[in-house]
Amino acid sequence: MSTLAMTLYTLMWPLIVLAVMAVIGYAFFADWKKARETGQDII
Amino acid sequence: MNESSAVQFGAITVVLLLVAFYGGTYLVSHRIRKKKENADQYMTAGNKIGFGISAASMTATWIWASSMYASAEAGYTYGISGPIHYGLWGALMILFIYPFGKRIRAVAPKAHSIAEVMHARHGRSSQLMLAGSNVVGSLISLMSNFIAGGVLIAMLSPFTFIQGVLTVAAGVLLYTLWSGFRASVLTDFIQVMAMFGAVAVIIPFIFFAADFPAAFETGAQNLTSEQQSFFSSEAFLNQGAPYIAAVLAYAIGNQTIAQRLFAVREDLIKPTFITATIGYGAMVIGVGMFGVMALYLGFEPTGGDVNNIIPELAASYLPAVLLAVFFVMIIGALSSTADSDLSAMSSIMMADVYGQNVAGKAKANPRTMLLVGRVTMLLATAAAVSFASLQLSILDLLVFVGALWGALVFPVLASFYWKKVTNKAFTVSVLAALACFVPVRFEWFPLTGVVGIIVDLFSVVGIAVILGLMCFGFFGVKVAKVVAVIAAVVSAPFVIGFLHDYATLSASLLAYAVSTIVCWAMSVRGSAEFDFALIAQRTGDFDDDAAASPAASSSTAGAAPGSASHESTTVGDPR
Repeated sequence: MSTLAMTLYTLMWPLIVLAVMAVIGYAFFADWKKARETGQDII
Repeated sequence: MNESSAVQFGAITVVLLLVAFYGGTYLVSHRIRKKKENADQYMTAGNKIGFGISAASMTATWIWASSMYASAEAGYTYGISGPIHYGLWGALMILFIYPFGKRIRAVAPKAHSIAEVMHARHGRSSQLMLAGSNVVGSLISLMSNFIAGGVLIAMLSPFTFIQGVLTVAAGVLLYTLWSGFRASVLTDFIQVMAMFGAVAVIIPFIFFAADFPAAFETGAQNLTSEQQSFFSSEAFLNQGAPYIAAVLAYAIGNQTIAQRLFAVREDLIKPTFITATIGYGAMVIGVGMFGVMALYLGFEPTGGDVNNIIPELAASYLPAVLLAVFFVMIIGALSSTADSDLSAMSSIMMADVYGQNVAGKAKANPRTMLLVGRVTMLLATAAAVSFASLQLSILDLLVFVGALWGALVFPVLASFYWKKVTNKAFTVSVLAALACFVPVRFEWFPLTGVVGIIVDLFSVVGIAVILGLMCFGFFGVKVAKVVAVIAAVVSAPFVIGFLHDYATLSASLLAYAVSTIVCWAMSVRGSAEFDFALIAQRTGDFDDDAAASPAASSSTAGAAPGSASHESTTVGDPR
C-alpha cells in the first residue's frame, strides 16, 4: 500500500471511534434526561 | 528501535491514578446502590436498559486488555492485515449473534442466561454443559484481565506483578460486589468513554511522534512480502480463519453477551449490537495498528514478549500526561470486562446452579440468590488471582475455549428453532464433538494420510455449517442451505489434503461438523414436537420485590414468587 493509503488506514480508526463515542454519549444523556423527567433510575 | 526513553510512573502517581479510577467508579456504583437489591436486577437489571448504556456496556465488555494486546500482536506478527484479522472477526462475533439474540429474547423474554433457557428447553444436562463452559470461559477471561493489569502496573511503576494483580482484583470487586450487573453496565459507560477518548488521542499522537508517515517508507524493509500484503494468506490462515470459526462460538458461549442480550430493551437489540460491532472493531483494529507501527519501526519488545509491544510503545513515545491516559485506558478495558465476567459467573451460579438445580425454580429464595452471587464473585476473584500468578498463555487458552464452544453452537441454535431437537441429541452431539475435538486440537496422533483426509472432510462440513448458520440468522433456512452447499463445494478443493496441517483450525471445524451431524441425525427422524411457549413459562423472575423492581412490576403484575409468577412472563412472546 502507498504511504498515503497506509496513513489513512492507520488514522481512520480513531475517527470511527470518535463517531461511535458521540453516538453512545448522546444516547446515554438522552436516557439520563428521560429518566430524570420520569423520576426513574437510569439503571 | 525507538530513540525515546521509556517513562515510568512513581509509586504515588500510580496509587493516585488507581484511587481516582476505582474510587470514581465506586462512587458511581454507590449512587445506584440499594440496601435491599433485587435478585433479578442483580442479574439482568430489569430487562429494560436503554440504548446508550447497553451499547456502551456491550462495547466495553467485548473490549478487554487482551484483545488490544492480541490485536497489536497480530499486527506485529502478520503485518498490515493482522489487526483486521483480529478485530474484524471479533467485531462480527457481536454482529452475527444479534438475529439469534432476537429469537432467543422472543422465546425467553425474561431469562438470565442461555443455560437457563437450555434448562427450560431440554433439561439439566444441556444446561449444565453450557453453564460449565460459561464459567470456565469467564474465569479464564477474568484471570487474563488480572494478568494484563499486573503486567501493566509492574511495567509502568515500582510495584510488582502480584501487587498489580491484587490491586486490580480488589478495585473491580469493590464496585461490582454489591449491585452486580447494574453496577457493571453503568460503570461500563464511563469506562468505554474513557477508552474511546484515550484511543482517539493516543493513536494519532504516537503515529506522528514515531515519525510516521515517513516511517512507512524508511521502515518498509522490516516487513516481509506477506506482512506488506493486505491479503496475506498467512494472516488469514493463522489468525483470521480460526477466529471466523470462533465467531458464533464466542457469541453463543459467552454469558457476558447473553446477559446484555437479556438486559437490553427488546426493541433496542439491533442498534445496540450494531453500534457495539462498529465500536469494538474500530477500537481494537486501531490499537492493533500499534503492532504494525512497531513492525515498521523495527521495535523489539523486551524479552521478545509481544505482550510488551503496546505498553513499551506507549512508554517510549507518550509524555507523562498521555501515558497516564493510556494507563487509564488499559485499566478501564480490563476492569470493564472483569466486572462483566464477575457478573456473568454470579448470575450463572444464582440462576442456573442455585435457582434451577439446588433450590428449584419455585422455592428459590431471592435473598439466598444474592448471597450466592456475591460469594461467587469473591471466590471467582480469589481463583482468578491464584491462576494469574501462573501466567499462562492467554491467547492459547482463549482459542481453546472458543473452539470448545464450537461444539455447542449448532445444538444450542437448533434448540431455539427446531422442535425436534431433544436433550439426548443435544448432550450426545456435544460430547461426541468434544471427543473428536480434543485429540485433533492437541495432535494426540499425527494428522497425516487417511486420518488427515478424514479430518479435512469434516472441516469442509464445518465450514459449510458455520457459513450456513451465519446466513440462517439473517436470511432464513433456504438461503442458509444454499450457502452451506456452495461453501462446501468451493472450499473442498482447497481444504482436502491441506487444512489438517493447521490443527487449531481443523479441530474447531471438526467440533462444528460432528456436533451438527450427530444432533441432526438423532433429531431428524424423532417424533419430538417441542412447544416453544413453554420456555417463557419456565424462565422468568425469581424475585417478586416490586418495590425494588419496577420492570418486574409492570410485566409480571401481581405475580407471586416461584412458578406461579412465571405464567405472566409469556407476555411479550411474539408467537
